[in-house]
Amino acid sequence: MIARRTMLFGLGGLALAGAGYTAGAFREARTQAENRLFAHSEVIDSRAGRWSSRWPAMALH
Amino acid sequence: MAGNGAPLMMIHGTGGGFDQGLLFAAGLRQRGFRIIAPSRFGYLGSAFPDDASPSHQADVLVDLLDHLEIDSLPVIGGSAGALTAAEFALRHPTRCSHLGLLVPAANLTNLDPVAFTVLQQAAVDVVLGSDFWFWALSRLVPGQMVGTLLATDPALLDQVPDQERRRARAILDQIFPISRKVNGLKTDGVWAGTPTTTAHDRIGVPTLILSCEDDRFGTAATARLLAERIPRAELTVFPTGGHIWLGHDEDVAHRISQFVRAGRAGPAGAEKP
Repeated sequence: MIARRTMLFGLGGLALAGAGYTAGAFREARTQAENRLFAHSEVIDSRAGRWSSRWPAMALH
Repeated sequence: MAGNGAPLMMIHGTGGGFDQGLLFAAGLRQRGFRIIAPSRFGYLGSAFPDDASPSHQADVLVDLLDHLEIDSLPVIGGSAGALTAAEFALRHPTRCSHLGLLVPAANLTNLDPVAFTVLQQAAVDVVLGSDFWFWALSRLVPGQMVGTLLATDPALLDQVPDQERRRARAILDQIFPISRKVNGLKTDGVWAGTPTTTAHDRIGVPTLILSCEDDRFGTAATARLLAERIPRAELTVFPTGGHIWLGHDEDVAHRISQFVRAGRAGPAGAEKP
């Protein structure tokens, strides 16, 4: 009985650790993607509203 | 925007944004072009107006050119971006020196060229509706994602140089985070599947059309029809490469560069190789 309970706890712990690792990796990937996309972006006005473009485009002006 | 030299606009495809435009045009940047790569309606913080049609997108691109003080430039559209590029050439010919249609999306036959089965559509909806599922599946089953979302035979990945494998991976990775692109994705699906109203036969600027025979989105057939309709259009169809012209990025960049710098269209309907 003890061995079975230990095994179940062990598996549960592994599942929790796996879920935590996955969630952390996902959050990290999303943060990196957001930084890649928006850290150097500015927005200009157009007749349709916002229009995103990379920062260097603004620097030319 | 990136690079130095003569300006060239690259309009991204479905699931992209300015980053995909820059990636598509990396070879052109190396060849001395300054790449203008906007994010279309509904992508990465750009506006999503009630009228998000390719024709309205084309009109708004004029504002961008005005902002950048560019009178005229070559405009290349990849995949669904070709819808906007064609409208831009048609509606604003004085601002468009050359038109490039790269693996062009268009419904020219009243049949959606990218029709999914119910099961495929459900799977695509799940993947495209969730940042997490997209992220997880692109790591767990990248081959299937390349085959389905990038419409390219994943077996090609083993046959191309490492640089091309990395490019394929980058195109897939850059779709993430998909939640920043939902409106654009949905709109592209509608317009790419809707029978075209673009008067291709009235496009007057020199036009180059590029595709791959094995593109799973069927753009080779679309490219041939477009070459018949657009006056004096040049056509190149590569035998392999899928929807991301895998293994042909250098060829594509060379062909576009050569076409733009030649400054004129070639013989009508010419097809190589």
